[in-house]
Amino acid sequence: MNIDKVFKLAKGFFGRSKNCKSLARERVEKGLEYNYVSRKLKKRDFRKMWIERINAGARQHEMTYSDFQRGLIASGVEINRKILSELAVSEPFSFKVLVDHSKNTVSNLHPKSYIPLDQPKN
Amino acid sequence: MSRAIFKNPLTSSHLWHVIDASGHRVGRLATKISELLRGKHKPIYDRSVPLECGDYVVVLNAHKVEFTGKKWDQKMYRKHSGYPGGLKETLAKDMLVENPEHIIRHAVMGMIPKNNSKFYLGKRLKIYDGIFNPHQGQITATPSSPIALNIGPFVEKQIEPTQEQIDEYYAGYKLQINNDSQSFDLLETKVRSHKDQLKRERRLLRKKRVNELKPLRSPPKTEEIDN
Repeated sequence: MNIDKVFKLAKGFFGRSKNCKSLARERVEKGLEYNYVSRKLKKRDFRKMWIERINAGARQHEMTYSDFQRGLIASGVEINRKILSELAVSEPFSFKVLVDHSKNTVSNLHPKSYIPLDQPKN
Repeated sequence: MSRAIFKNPLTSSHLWHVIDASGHRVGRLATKISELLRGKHKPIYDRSVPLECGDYVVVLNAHKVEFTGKKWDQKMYRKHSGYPGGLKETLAKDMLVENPEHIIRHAVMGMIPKNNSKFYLGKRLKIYDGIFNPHQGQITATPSSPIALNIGPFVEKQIEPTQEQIDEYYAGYKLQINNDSQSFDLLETKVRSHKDQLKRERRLLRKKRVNELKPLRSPPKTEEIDN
């Protein structure tokens, strides 16, 4: 990589990592590698946070995240986890409507299953 | 949206939860306390700001907690001073006399993530031996919320099985037992073969349900959401 570009990318680094050519090159390459990896990790971290928030919102109405999602999927509600978590935080009454809808759907399914009660299990 | 939540004074004020530990099992109680300390009961939970969404927890009657089984006589609390031979072991029943707060605190701190926030979250856990709550003034000054979880003493769950459940309970194990060694050997064989059969059936059921977990695209229901 061009050394001027290396020093431009190394701006703000600690100690000699921003001034010394050999150290800056090494740190910049490692930093770009971290950047690449973190772009993959960020997607997982946000999905995990959405699930935690949906779980907390659903548990306020005596329902677990697993049953809540099962009810929504079985009834064809295709709201994704990001929007569900936003609803849980900023629109709790809309979220409650979804929880009630999911409860109604789950009560018509076999336990831990997507099969309706009026159909045979096997 | 993640960080703007905590600029709202309603969401950024920490709640206080008062828990009476009388009769509670230590581990089950500690799981609830650790979730309250981290704020996992709130929809605004965010693991990147652990000190913002966590709450304060006050535990009273610390000496009235319970262990299941023989843990009072067998469970040990250990610490080491660093010098040779400096290991100090305390039985749970002796710890209850010396420092009853440590039993709950040790259980809760083991369930909190081991990072830099562990120390500050631990300071929000207030454990007292007795019924007096010294933080009552702070609790009244905090705005109340329906999320605040005040747990009373432990209440044993009442199980009242119906006659059908009682009959079902013994299904598969109705065996005639006679007082001779040959029958006992046969009995053991029958019980083992029955358990193997149950295990096989469960394995087949688990394999079958792998395909079952895909959602069904049933015809659209009339009870769709109207908003």
